Amino acid sequence: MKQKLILLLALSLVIPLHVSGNPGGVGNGLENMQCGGACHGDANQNATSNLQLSLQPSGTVWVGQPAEITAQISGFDTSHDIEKIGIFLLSSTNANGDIPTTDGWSILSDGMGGSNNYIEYASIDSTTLTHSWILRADEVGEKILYISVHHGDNSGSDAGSPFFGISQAFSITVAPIPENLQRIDPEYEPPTSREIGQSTNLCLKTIAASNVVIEWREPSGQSYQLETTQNNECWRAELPSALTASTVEWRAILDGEGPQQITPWFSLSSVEPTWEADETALMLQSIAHIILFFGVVLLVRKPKPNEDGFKDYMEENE
Amino acid sequence: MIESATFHVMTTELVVGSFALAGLCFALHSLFSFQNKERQFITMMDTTAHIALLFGLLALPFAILSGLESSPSGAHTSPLLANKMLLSTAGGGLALGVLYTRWRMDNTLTSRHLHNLFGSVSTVCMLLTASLGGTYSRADSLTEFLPFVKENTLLLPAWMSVFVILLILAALIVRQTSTVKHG
Repeated sequence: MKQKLILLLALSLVIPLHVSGNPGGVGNGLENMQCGGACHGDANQNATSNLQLSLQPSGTVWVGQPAEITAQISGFDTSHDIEKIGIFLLSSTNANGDIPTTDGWSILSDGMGGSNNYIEYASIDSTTLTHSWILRADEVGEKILYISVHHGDNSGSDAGSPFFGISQAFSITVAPIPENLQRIDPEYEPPTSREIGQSTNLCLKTIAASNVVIEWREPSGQSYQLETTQNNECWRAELPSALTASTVEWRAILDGEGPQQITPWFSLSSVEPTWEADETALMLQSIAHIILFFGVVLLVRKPKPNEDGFKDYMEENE
Repeated sequence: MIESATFHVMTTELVVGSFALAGLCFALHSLFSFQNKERQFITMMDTTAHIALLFGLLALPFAILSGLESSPSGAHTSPLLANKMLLSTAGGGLALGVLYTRWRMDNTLTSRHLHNLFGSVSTVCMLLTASLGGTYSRADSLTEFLPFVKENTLLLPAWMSVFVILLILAALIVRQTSTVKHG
């Protein structure tokens, strides 16, 4: 018996564990590089991804204004068999304090209905993947951003291993904004998600703008323009509701003393209504579970005729 | 200061480890009893199972409370979290009953197997709870073949939970009274 036990323990130590990271992904979120070492368990067992990573802002990045930062990941050719990929937007490669929000950026939209620096694609259907975040910088100067990827790959010599890739450092220049240029209020937070069937009332606060037009486009690309009405320093417009889970995009066209300003496209995802139960009923049921199962164990057993159980137990085991 | 999510991971590991050991020992206890093995092994399994169960039970409240604290929107906003909550309290109730009955109730051979069964079911509840945690945080676990626990919750109305609590308490009081009269 003892020998069998030792053999079993020895075998369990000798057989190497299969490392496959989190094949289901970890979900979109605010994550440091490699999720602080937790995305793929032991980061030392990662294989190196040979995907090509690049990053660039679309136009000038003004301080306090939304700016579109586009990541391009290329190299998904026939030599790869990648199903799911996770993409990080990082401000450093320390594996802690890497989220751009720790370096003076606000993430206004991740393009997937949230404000995360880590997003996941469930499938890749072309050789190049392009993804955009809408960021806002709170100070003038040079800032550094990185793109990083996590994925599996069922082809090549490292098939089945978790793959990790990190880009070079990309420098982003944040410029001061001209004084009278019409712009969005630096405190404005665009909505990122809503429930299916709900329309969205936009209330866009601006500075030095004499007129605002909202343009929105369907997933198919067809675009529409909405006139706005000014009310309490806020330009109002209503985006129509979506009938299915989908993402529409909208942007504002601002007129004023300076040249016309156009914001980046903001994503607005329509999602299924969230599941919600009665919190009190759940708490009561949890208490009921403790008492019910405790009671069941007691009620199916015969009571002990002698009250001194501990004494009996000690005698029994002597 | 330690984050509640980190504390939850620590306490859950304590709970899962202790309950897994307890479940294994409950199963071995029954197996050795069937095989009429040496009394020394049977006693060892029995003692280890109950001590491990007690240790897991002590860590359980911390795991539940830190889990609730680390959920951004509460357990009632996800069927998976609600199931985790219900399974862990069911396992906790079973474990509490098993420990109580070990000291206070009849201990014949037939009832020992039933006792071990309750202890093992308690372990299954805890392991399933932990596995759902893996599904929630990493979208990957050993229970991926059980899709209904991710999407559905058997939730009772509040009045029915109160009724169940009162019914069981009443049954326990009647049982206690009856034991005192006839014992």
